[in-house]
Amino acid sequence: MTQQSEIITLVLSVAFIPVAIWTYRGISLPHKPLLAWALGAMFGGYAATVIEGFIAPILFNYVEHLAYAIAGVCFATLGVAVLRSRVNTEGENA
Amino acid sequence: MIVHVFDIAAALGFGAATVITLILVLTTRRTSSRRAMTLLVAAMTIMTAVSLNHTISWIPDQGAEDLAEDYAQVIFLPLILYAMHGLYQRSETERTERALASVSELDDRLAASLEELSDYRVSVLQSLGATIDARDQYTALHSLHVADYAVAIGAALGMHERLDELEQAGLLHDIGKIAIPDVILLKPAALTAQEYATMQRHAEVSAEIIGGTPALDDLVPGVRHHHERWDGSGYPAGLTGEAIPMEARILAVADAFDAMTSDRPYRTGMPLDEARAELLAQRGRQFDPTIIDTFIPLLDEKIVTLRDYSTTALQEWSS
Repeated sequence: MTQQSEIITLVLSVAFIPVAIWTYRGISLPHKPLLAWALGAMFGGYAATVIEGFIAPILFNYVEHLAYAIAGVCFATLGVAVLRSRVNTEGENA
Repeated sequence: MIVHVFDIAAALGFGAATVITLILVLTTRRTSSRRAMTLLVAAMTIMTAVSLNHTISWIPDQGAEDLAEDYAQVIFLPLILYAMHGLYQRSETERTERALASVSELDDRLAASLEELSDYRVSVLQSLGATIDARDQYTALHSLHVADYAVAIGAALGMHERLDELEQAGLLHDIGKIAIPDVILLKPAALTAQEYATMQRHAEVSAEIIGGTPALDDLVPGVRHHHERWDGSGYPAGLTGEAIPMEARILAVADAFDAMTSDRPYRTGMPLDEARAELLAQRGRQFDPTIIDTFIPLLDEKIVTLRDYSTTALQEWSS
């Protein structure tokens, strides 16, 4: 059964997509595509959470958890990339 | 079972992201970046908590309420979006700083190029000056005097940005005389009509010589037309009034004044008073009235004095 909070999350995430894309295009980050992957995975997770209430609950439950795993790994990798880039930049400026 | 592997991976990923963003917050100097990073820490902490909740939910009687977890996810979205906005602003600032640095670098390179061009221009001027001197020392000194008078007039007229060009045009205005045969150029008597016609070619020859050097082509109009007369009876183009370039009108007065006051093998130079009277007599006929009205006070107030025709002046300039 789909909960109200899940619908709110999905609607919010759909509404945020254009803003997120516009903002994403103006951001300069090392390994920037990882951010797109992370955000895409989060959105996929939200969508799967709602869909599992209607069709193929087991499959979409897998998809939901897989999506969050991908998002977590992408965010962590992105963080490492930013950290390494900063260390390199400070090393060059030193 | 595989779902739990995903949950553990998510918890580790978001947990690591939380720690890294926390390190970034602590090491960031910019306030705006720190704010964005703080929001990221909050977002990553929320998702770490959610993932941990998923992870422990398969332990019997463990795990938080689903409702709290779902609303935590709702908060995650604006947090991440606001953090992205902060990163966007930081990126804009960095792009602006990079653009400013590029402009500054281009500015430096342009200044260096201009300095190089200026050095090149000076070396060309020195070569051409040496050419005039080798051919006819009188012309070399005359050119030096015309340059001095022209600069004085230009300064009095407020043409401060064009003084270098006026000086250089004065120095080179008669360079075309190197194409005039010695029998005419150095003739110790008045010229015949045919000789005078040949002599008149020097203005255009001067312009052609100078025009062949791109670094000096801005001097061409002044040099080509320095024998034009205000009433249109001059040469080479017979221009009238303000159709004559300003630099040429100034050079015309400076040239005529120095020619009148200098000694030649076939005549002595006019005294200052006579030259002054002749300038006034030709005001509005041969010369631009404005230039005469500017130059006469310079003579009267002795701001401009007669130049020396000793070779010392030439040696000083050459060095």
